Amino acid sequence: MTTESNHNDPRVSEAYQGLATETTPPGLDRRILAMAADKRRSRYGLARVWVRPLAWAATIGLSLAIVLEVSQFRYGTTPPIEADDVETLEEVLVPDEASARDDDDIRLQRGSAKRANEPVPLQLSAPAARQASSPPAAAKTAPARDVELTPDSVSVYEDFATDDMSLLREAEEQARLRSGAEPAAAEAANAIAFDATTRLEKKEQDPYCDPDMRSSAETWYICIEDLRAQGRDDDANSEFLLLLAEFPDFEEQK
Amino acid sequence: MAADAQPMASLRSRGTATLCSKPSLAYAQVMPHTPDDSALMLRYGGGDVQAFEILYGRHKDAIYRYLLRLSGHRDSAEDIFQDVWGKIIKARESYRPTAKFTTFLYRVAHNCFIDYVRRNKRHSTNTVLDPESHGDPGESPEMATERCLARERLEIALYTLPDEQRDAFLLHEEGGLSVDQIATVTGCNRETAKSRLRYAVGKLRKAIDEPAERS
Repeated sequence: MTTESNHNDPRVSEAYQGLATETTPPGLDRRILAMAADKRRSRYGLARVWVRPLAWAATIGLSLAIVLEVSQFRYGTTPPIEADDVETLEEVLVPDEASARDDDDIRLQRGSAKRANEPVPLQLSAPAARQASSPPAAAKTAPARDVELTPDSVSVYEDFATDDMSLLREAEEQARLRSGAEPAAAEAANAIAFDATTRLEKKEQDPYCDPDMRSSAETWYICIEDLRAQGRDDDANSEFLLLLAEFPDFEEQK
Repeated sequence: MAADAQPMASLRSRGTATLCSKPSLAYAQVMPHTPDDSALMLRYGGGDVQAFEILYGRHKDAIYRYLLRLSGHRDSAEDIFQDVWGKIIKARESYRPTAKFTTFLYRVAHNCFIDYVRRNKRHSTNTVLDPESHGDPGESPEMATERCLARERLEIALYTLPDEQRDAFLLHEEGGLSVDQIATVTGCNRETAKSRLRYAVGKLRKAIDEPAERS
């Protein structure tokens, strides 16, 4: 009882209760009650129903995407070219006549395979046709029009351009990759890539033979002879291969 | 029901004078027929805002006075008060009635005050509250002066108490908490809580009796 009275004094309590008459400001009450009502609405809405499944779905989706990305990264990359292979690269990009012929044969075979699947006749849009076959002079004089081409010539020509461009890109990529490690090799690769670029640009700016020339084997061959006379043996060879593909019975005049 | 037994017992221990003079005490509002605080909190957890309004109405003034006397600043008390109820609102889903709601509420208030003091290193409780703000507009000038003097003596004595003793006294007076509950709220053992409360009451009694002894 003594202990109880020690921490419970009625006089002190009474004095304190007479003193403590403060109440909360009305503005504060309003703020608290508004906060309580607001929180109840935001937490107990429809949101809680779909948030968890959505979070799971997003997590699983992201995980799958990362796994796929990692697996492609591990198995889909090409091995880097060694320094010793720079010459090989040069051979690939600037083939000699024999190897160029072999490559062209392969490309022609690919073109033939494509031909079997493509509908005949093939119609190209004016810009594509101009880029593929018309010489600059003809392009200047002739109005833009759809050009009737045989599927063989177009597909073979496109094959050429596509393959050359892919080789060029590959060479540029390898040169870029190697530039940090071995500057000499990188310079060589860059030079090769530049050469190939120049060649391609030249080819694009100056088409070899126009469609009129290609209409018959004889006129086409005359165009090829002109190219050889100009010293453009590579272009002449390419045209000759196309000629052979178009006119298999044609025999070269010795 | 059992949860509400403690305030009633605490109320009884104060004596009839307190009950008669101040029937509108915050803890005296907890009547047997009214919904339990914990039940109200659970109802609010289920989305019933009206339950929260009842709960808030029961405890707001006592909590406010507790924080006001503890901090000694009206602005600080309002900040902490808002923080306390924000935490109560936030805890509505995780709340489990393992202890009495009043104990839970005052524990949150006590912790918020401690956090506030830590955040504001320059906080001091030396500021005496403005006496004009507590005045009763109906009383005579003599009564007002006497009341003001008594209040000042008690208030000065209250603010001269060590923080722990003042905390224990306010928890007992405003929250109606028992010694065990004060120990739970303040995180000390029962004997320490009892000792703090005893010292606090002894010093305040001395402060009240001082003018009488002089005369």
